[in-house]
Amino acid sequence: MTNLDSGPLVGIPVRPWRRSARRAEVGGVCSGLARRLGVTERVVRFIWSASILVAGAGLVVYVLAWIFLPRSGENDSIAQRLRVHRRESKTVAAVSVTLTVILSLSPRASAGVKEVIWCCLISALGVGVALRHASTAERVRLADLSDHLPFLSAKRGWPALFGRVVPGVALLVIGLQLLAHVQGLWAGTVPVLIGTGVALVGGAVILAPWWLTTVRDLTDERRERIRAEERAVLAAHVHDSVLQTLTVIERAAADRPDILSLVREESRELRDWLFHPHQEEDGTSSTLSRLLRELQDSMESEYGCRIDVVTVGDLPSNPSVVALAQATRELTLNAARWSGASVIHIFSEVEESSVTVCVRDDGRGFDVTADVGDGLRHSVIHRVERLGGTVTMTSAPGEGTDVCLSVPR
Amino acid sequence: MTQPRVFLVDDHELVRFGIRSAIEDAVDIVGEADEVDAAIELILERVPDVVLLDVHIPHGGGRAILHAVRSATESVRFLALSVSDSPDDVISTVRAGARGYVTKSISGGELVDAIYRVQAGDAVFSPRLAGFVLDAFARTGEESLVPLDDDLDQLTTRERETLRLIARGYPYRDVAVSMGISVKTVESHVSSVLRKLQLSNRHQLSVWAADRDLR
Repeated sequence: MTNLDSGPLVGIPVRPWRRSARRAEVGGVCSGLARRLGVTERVVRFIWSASILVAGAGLVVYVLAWIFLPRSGENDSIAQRLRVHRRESKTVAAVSVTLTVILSLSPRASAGVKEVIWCCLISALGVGVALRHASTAERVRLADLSDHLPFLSAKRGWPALFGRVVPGVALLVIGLQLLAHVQGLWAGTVPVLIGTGVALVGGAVILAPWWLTTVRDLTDERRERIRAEERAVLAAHVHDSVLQTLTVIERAAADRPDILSLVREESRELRDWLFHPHQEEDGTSSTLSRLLRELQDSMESEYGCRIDVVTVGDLPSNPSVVALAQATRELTLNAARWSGASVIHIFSEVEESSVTVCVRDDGRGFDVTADVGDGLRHSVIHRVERLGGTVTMTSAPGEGTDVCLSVPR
Repeated sequence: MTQPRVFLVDDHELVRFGIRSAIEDAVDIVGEADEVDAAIELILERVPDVVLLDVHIPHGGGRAILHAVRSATESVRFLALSVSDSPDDVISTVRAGARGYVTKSISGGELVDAIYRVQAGDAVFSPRLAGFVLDAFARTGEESLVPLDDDLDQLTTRERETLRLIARGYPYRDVAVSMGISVKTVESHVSSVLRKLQLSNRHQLSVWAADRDLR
C-alpha cells in the first residue's frame, strides 16, 4: 500500500496519479502530481499557486482533483464514495451544474472579481464534499491540519474567531475591490496605495494571532531546551565528581558495613536521579525493572551485601509481575541471610512469551534434594507455580546457588 | 607471563590512587594522566599494553583519547572503566574501540583478571554490559521492516546464551562449564559479540552512539 509513495516500482511503466498520503500539505494533489511527473514538489506547488491567481481557476482544478483522484493506499476516490449516497450525489451534481452554467453565461464584461467569487463558491462546495467523504485516515490528517491553520483552529473560541475574522475578511475584500477598480482606470498611485494598505491590514488582522502563537511556541521551546541543557551540565558535573568520590569511599570503607550501606544508598539515589529522571515524575506506573531496583535498595541497606541487578527488556507492572518480584525478594533475602556471599546477582529478561528472573550467589550453597525448607517452598515455588511458571534450582554445598524463575507473560 | 604494562587515565586523583593500590602488585603501571591531551601524548610515547580509561574525562572524554590513539596505533588496547549506569556511555565507548567495559565497583582481583584478558586480546564484558547488549540486540517487532545484515545485526543462539550467563554474574570459567564448552570457546563467542557491537549498524546501537555525538 505505501509502496506507491515510496518511489518508482519496477514493472510499472507509468505510475498512476494519486494523491500523496504522507507528503500532503492539504489534499496531497500537488505532491502526487510531482511524484507522477518526477519533478520536485516545490515546482508543482509554485506553478499551481500561480495558476490560482488566474481568476481562481487553479483552485477549482485542485478541488476537482482532490475529489476525483484516489488517495495513495486507498481504492476509492472521494467521488466514488459519494456515488454510494444517491440523494446527496444528485444534489451536489445539480448545484455544481447550476453554478457552472451561471458562471459561463455571465457577461464577460463584468468579469474579473466576479469570476473569482464563483470559483471560490465551487471550490467551497467541493471542499465540503471532500471533507464529508474523506477516508478516516485522511480525516484524521485534516483534523490535525486544521489545528495548525491560521484562523480555523478549534482551540480558540468562536466569538473571538468571528470578532477577528469577519472584519479581517471584510477589510481584505474591500482592499482587493479598490485595487480591482483602480486597475481598470489606471488613475494615479494614491488609490493603489490605499487599496494595498487596506488589504494588508485585513490580512494582518486575520493572521496576527497565528503569528503570535508561533512566536510564543518558539520561545517556549527555546526555554525548554535551555532547561534541558542546564540539567545535562549539572548531571554531568554531579556524575563526574560526587559519584566518583562515593565510589572511592565505597572502596575504602570495605570493612565498615554501616558506612558502606550509607554510601551505596546515596550513590544509588544519585544514579536514579541522573539516569532515570522520569520515574519519579510518573509515580504510579511501576515496571519490573523498577520493582527489582527497589528490591536492591532495601536489601542492600538492610543486609550490607552488594546486589547487582541487570535487566533486559521491561514490562509494566501487573499481578504476576508483582508476584514474581515478591518471589525474587524471598530468594534474595535467603541468599543475603544464609549464603555468606558478598555479591548477589539478579538478572531479569523479558521475552516475547515469558519473563525470567534469576538470582545467583557464589556463597555456601545447599543440597537442593534435601534442604528446600518450607519457607522457600511456600514463598517461591508455590507462588511461581500458581502463575503457571517453573522454578529451576541449582545448588550444592560450597558451590553457590542459582535459582531461575520463569513465568509466562 | 610478564606483567602487562598498564596506563591509567582518570581525572580524579583519589580514584587513580584507589585503582593503583588495588592492582599495582599484579601489573606494571607505566603512567597516569588526568586529562585528554596529556593522556594521548603519554600513551603514544609509552605504548602500554592496556589503558584503563575513565569514560568521563572532561574536554572530549574517553572517546577522544580512544579515537586519537587508535588512529595512530593499533597495539594499545583499552579497557573502559566508569561509574556510569547509562547504556549510552557504555555502548558508545565500546563502539569507539574499547575491548571491554567494567564498572568502578569491580573488585581488585576481577579488575586484574580483566586487564590480563584484554592484554591477551579478548573482550571483557561486565554483567551490565552483557545486559545492555542483549537489550540492544533484542528481537523487536518495530525493526523487522528494516533488512538486517544477518551476520552483524543478530546474535547467534550460542552468543545469546553466553551473554545471558555473563549477565547473570557467572565468571567465564563457570559459563564454559554450564554450556559444556571450553573457556576458549566462551572467549571467542564474547569476542565475536564485541565485533558485532562495534561494526553493526543496528538501529538502537546507532541511536545510542548518535545521541552522544551531539554533546
